[in-house]
Amino acid sequence: MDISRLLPPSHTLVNLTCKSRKEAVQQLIQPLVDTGIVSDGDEFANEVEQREQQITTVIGNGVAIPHARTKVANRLGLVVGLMNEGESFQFSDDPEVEPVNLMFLIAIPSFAPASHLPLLQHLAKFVRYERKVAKLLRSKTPAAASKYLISFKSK
Amino acid sequence: MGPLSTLLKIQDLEIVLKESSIVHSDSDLETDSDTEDIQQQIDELKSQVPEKQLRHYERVKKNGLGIAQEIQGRCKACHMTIPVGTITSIQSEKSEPICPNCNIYIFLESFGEDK
Repeated sequence: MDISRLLPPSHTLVNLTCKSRKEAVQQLIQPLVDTGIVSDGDEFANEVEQREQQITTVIGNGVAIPHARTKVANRLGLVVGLMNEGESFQFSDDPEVEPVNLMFLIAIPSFAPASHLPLLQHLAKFVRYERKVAKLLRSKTPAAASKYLISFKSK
Repeated sequence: MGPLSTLLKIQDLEIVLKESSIVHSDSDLETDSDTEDIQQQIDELKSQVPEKQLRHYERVKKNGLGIAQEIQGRCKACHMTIPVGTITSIQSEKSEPICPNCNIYIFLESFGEDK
């Protein structure tokens, strides 16, 4: 899957510092609001929180893919957030679930509720490669991280 | 909540289950109880939908979505324009709310929660 159109460098945040899910989601939503994909950041944050209550989006290996269907998104949007190397925080409400240091936030327009499934599958495949995830986390700039993710082609 | 709103809700929950099967297929996380909860909610909602409508929904869902929204005269599943006559006919309840192109249920913009 080609995710180059979904992931301009401005949609990649490196060196994130956050201590809670709410804080992380707020930071990740901002690029979507700035590019006009999401018209109301607060409403989308609430919907992400509600979705998180249904089933956790933590996927393992320190990765979470928070997402939600929302009326305030006009198209599919993706933002990637990387924490500093060695840093992580508790994303899930379940304390037994491991902390997270890499997040992919997906905004799904409510009129196309299944449009994100191929993207989700693509990201899930990427996350299976621990070495690729580690290399992504070592990215120094948003452009480098974006380029690396875009270069991943799932079979 | 009317049957079409219920079908939209069912579809949303079914997508959540699909998402979970994609992201958690290889992980060691315990999500079985959450999955069961959602499946229970789906079953409960399905019992509120008339059998004929549920059968049609299940049949067309095999090709992707079972219900989609109509926005500005277009079906959001196939992106084709729905003829004004069809929309009027659906609004006046003379015909089933079905997209003439892709045959899935359409939830008109003008519908409220009661549909």
